[in-house]
Amino acid sequence: MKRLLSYLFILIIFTSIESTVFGNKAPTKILFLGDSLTAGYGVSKKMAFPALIEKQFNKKSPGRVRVFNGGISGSTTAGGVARLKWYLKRKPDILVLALGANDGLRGVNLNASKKNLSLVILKAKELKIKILLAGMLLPLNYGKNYRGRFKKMFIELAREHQLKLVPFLLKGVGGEPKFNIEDGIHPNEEGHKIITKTLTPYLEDLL
Amino acid sequence: MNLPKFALKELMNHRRFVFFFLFNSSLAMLGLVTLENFKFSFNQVLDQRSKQILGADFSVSARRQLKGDEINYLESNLPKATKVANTTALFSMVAGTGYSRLVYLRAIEYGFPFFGHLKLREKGLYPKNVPFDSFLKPNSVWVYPELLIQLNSKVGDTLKIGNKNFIIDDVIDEDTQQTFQMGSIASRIYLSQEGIKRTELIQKGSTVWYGNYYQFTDGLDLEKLQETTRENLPDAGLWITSPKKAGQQVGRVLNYLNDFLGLVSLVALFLASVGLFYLFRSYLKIKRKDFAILNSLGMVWNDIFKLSLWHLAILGFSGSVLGLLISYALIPLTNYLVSFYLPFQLPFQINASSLIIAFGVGTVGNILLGLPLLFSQHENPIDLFQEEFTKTSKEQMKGWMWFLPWVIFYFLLAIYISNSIIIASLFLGLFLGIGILIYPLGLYLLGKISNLTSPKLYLSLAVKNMARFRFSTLSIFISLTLGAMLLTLIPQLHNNLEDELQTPSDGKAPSFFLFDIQEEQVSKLKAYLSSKDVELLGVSPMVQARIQDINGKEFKISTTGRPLTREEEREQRSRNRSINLTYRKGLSDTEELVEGTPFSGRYGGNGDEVAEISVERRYAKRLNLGLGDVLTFDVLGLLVKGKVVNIRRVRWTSFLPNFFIVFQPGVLEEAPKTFLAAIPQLNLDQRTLLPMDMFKDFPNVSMVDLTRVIKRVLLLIKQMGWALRIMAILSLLVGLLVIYSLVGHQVLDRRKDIVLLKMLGISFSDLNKTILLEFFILGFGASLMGISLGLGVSYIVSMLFFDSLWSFRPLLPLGLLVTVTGLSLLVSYLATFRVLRSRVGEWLYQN
Repeated sequence: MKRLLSYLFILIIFTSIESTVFGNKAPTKILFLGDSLTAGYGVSKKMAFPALIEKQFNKKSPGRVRVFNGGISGSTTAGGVARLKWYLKRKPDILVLALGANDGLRGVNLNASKKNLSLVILKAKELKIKILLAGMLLPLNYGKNYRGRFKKMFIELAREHQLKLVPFLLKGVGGEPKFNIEDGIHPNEEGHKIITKTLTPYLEDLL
Repeated sequence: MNLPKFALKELMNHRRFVFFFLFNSSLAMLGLVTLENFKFSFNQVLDQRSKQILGADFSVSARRQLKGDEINYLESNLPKATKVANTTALFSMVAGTGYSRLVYLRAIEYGFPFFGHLKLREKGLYPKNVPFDSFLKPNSVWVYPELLIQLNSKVGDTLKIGNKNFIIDDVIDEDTQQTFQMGSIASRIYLSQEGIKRTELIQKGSTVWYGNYYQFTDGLDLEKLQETTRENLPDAGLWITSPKKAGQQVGRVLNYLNDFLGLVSLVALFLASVGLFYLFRSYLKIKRKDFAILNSLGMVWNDIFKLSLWHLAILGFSGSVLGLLISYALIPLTNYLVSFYLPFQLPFQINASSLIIAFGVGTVGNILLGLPLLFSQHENPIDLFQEEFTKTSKEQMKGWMWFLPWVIFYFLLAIYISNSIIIASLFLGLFLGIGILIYPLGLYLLGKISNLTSPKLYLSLAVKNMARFRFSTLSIFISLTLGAMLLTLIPQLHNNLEDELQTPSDGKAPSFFLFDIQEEQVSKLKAYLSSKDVELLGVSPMVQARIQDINGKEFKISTTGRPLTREEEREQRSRNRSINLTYRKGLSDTEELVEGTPFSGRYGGNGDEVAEISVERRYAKRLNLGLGDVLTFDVLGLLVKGKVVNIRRVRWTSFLPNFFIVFQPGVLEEAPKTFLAAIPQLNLDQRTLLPMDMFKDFPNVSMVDLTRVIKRVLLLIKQMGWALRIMAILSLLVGLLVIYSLVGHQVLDRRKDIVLLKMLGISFSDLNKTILLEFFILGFGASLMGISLGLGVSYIVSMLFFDSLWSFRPLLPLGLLVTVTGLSLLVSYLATFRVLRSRVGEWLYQN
């Protein structure tokens, strides 16, 4: 029995050394659930920030992460849970929840948006998926009151569900013409690189 | 010798013929001029409509203010004497009495839009009836009517926009500038430029749309101006728009209509020419005797030639003037008929183009047309003693060569009218080809049948008549063939386009477009609307995907290393954008199978087999897709393969949800999706209250109010439909007039023979049967050939210009076959009737 235990101990040590040294550990699966910003509207999918993040992490340690881009242009928070279910077969470890911008731009009732996002968070938590909440800000023309309520929605969600929050996904990109395509709303390739930088430290923490 | 005076005197001596000639040629001219004027009037109306959508002749817009060098370029390169206006637009949340809503704020300057209007409930039409004093003040707004209910407000109440309060000054019942694109998702509020500044909503980080609008003096090529400006201001962030582009919703149909109208004019031109050519031929045949006598009396051929040219010029010019005068005289009647029958105002007017065409065809065209005929008259007086005479092949070739100036002239005129070298070449080539083919073939066949005999006298006589007068038989046959061909072409093209212009029946056109409906909401939404007696139309699942590869080849444009052109850049972006897929059992009511087979049923594979897909015709053309091609889609991370089993045509003017790519059922059901749907026409109360109610119960479902836009687009499409119909009817009438003229004249040509046969004792019945049989063979044969050719040409034209829209309806060719043959018989019967009834002595005395 003692002998068997020592074999087992050696095996465990060897396996962990092999995983660390030879990078054989199963990649961490990151699911990005978002809208056109995540989908990479106007740029190639390979240049959208989810793909750039995968590339960046795997450059340092090959095979470290595997990314699923669940961005759908024009999508709102309403379909969040159904979409999360679609990706569950991929068994994601981390969920980057980047929904809500279209709700705000369309003037949707923010109580409904918050409820939808909560349902997605609860479902992910139930399955022990780590969550990173990507916050958004609305353009200034939407008015102080509505913008304030929209910003607050993400802060409240993060607090209520004890989540890590990126205050503004488009930090340094939104409203800067040189980092957006001609519609002025969607990031160009340079813009996606900046978003990648914004998200990296948060994801490092979760990894 | 004063040739013009002599020519005039000569013509006065042939009053009967001159009258007949002028009557026929002025009719042909009238047809040509009327068609040209209609085309002009319709174009004016449609141009005006497109300008109303843009509100100006030209615009440059961006998500930013224009830069200094861009302003400098526009100021120094746009034509002077322009009006300029700026607009500023943005979305914002606006609070009324207790509620807040998303609105589309649009700031304008006084006088804008330059074309079109805002119909204000109290002030009337702006800008026409609203003086500057009554224009928007810095603290007032004009709002769409539904907003009053949504915000529980009324005129005179206050709205909070940004940090400031604004007074509702008036309500906008009609806005000619509302389109599908900008601001359809939200109700509009108009305010002044000072007003938008007051809101303090425009700061760094605001998403604002700045528009710079221009009005020019008439006659500028706006499309060209757009191209030049685009070349000089290549920033993709600038939207440079001309009215044609602004009316994109109907742009394709508008292009069809323009091409169609060009074709109608061309057909009218060629029809008129066929008629005129035949009339001249008859005229010169009559004059042949006179010319030979003049020659034998010592007049040199050169003078006879000049004299004939004067004849042609005087006759042609008079015909054109008469045609134009009648056309002018008929304007009140035409306007009355137009206002009576058309559901819109069409100020029918004469335009410069029709004058140029009428005089060009009437004078230059006639003279050039007369050249080959005149040269064929250069004969010895001795020839007069022969009934039919033959020419050497060298003489014949020389005769044909004289057609060349006419061919070149008509080719240039055809390009001018149709605006297309291809169409002009096609038409001219066809005309010449038909002549070149039919003439020798006909001569050969007529030679073969000349010896045929029949125990029935009328049969024998009819065949012999045709063979004996083979040149005149072939002339009328070719003319009738061309007439029938042109007659078929326009109604056939009209049929093809009619389907494209089909609009939903009243009440079936949607008033709202709903999107972002979640799967679990569909049945609830249906039940909810049903409780309000509202039907949900065209409910369609929508799954987003990207095309990964086509037949295993990655779907991307080649990267050559060189900088991409603007078009390539856009193409690349469009390829990077996702495509919306749907699934259903078969075709919807607004679709038609063009190629391939329907879906075999539900997908029975286990995920590895390729699914069946249906592709929209234009999309297939754009991606160069054909039956059997296999596309791989990235459906949110999962790769799905689809094989093209059919290509379908979608009638986009149904305004219902339609898709480029449709999957067979059983493949995409599990994928995350939202649903699209439409709501049919509602009354004003329902239209205003429903969105408010739905906002409470279905907060995520976005509703786009299409009522005003669709109403306007439908009217425009209806107008185009009328344009097509009227032009088709007019060209049909012109064609029938030409055929009437041709046959009538041909019978008059035969008068001498008819009288001679009557003198020889042939019975009235046999003579009548002979003529009728002869014209039946000619009319039936020529129309059969002409109609077949017409169908063929319409097919080619459809492929070239009308996106392969071609549908065969047997009623049209059959109807035309009966009409043209029947008309030939009727005209020949009526024309011979008088000759047959007259006494032989009387006729001999007259001649």
